[in-house]
Amino acid sequence: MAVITNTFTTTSPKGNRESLSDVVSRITPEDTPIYSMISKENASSIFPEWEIDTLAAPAANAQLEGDQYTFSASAAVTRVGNYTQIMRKEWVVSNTQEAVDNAGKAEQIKTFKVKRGVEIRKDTELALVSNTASVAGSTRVMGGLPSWLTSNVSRGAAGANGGYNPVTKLTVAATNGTQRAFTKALLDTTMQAAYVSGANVKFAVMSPYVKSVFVTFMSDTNVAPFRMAVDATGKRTIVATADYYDGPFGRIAVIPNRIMAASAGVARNVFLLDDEMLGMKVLRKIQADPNVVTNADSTAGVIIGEHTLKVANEAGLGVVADVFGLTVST
Amino acid sequence: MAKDDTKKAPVKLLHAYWPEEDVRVDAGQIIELPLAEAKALIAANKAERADPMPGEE
Repeated sequence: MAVITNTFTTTSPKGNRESLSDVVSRITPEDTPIYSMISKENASSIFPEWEIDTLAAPAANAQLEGDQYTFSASAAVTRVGNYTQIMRKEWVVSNTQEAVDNAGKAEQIKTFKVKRGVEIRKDTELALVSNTASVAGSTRVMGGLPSWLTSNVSRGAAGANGGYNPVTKLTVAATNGTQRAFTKALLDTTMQAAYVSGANVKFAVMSPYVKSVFVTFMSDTNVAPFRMAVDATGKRTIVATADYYDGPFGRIAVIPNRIMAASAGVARNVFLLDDEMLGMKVLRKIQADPNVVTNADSTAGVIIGEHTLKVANEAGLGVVADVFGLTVST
Repeated sequence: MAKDDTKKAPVKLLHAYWPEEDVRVDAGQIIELPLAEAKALIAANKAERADPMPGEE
């Protein structure tokens, strides 16, 4: 095969139009399961606090006929709090770039603003699932969920709880234990601990890999197998998933969290959650700062918010910690 | 001289601790742990020394 000499091909001309699609593909996940499920409440200080109360344990109660009353002491409630964390994302675009015709408008101010808003929500989700101790001061840090949970906890060998310290008014990060495989027994044991504590967990939030381990629970001899009706004329489906777990201590929705695939550090926990026991205390909503000035031939913007995690009562939640969260051995 | 890896030290737990998988020992308890483990817990402020003071033995 050969091209006839002097054939004018597309590699030569100066005037061919480019053909750049206006459709910009972005599949980066935007979902933030925990942040999205919990309530947003107003905060009025950098250290919103709330109270935890308990009932006395049940005890034998038979009294003498005609007896004189005695009065027992009442316990004070426990006061806990979390420091607000400032989260911010910025952009700056030259005014010329904003004026030119940009394919898909993906590199212009409106899109940058939307993207930064989504990114802050994802940063918030990461903060929620991170084993981070709270920090006071100017660069405040909210205590992440793992740093709060102490009651209904399963850990690997050499793991230790963190928890809220009422003296320092800070949470302490948990100490990681030796990782192990996530099992139905671990889930059942932790759900039982949560049930005994009075919790009504509704969700299990886990890394995508752990969700894939969860679906293998259907092979357990104590689990009722699926029975699917097969339509003789229809197409067959292999069913290899489950989205709920109906265990001895209640029914929970099993939710994979893509943010928890970010690292082995956040993938190692399986959270047992009740959305009524969690909330975001919002001091400043995530929104654009309208007063950003560049003093240049450009337009800048900032998305900023300040909020913290409220763990209404950590005993209403649970965690199976120290599981392999990314692969069979990590 | 080689280190004695079997030597244990008593510590008082300031936070619940799992010496083995799924074996929880609550805060406030005194347990004996291998030296390295005890030192790591103390360094992390998760436990404090519980060995007798001079003259108490």
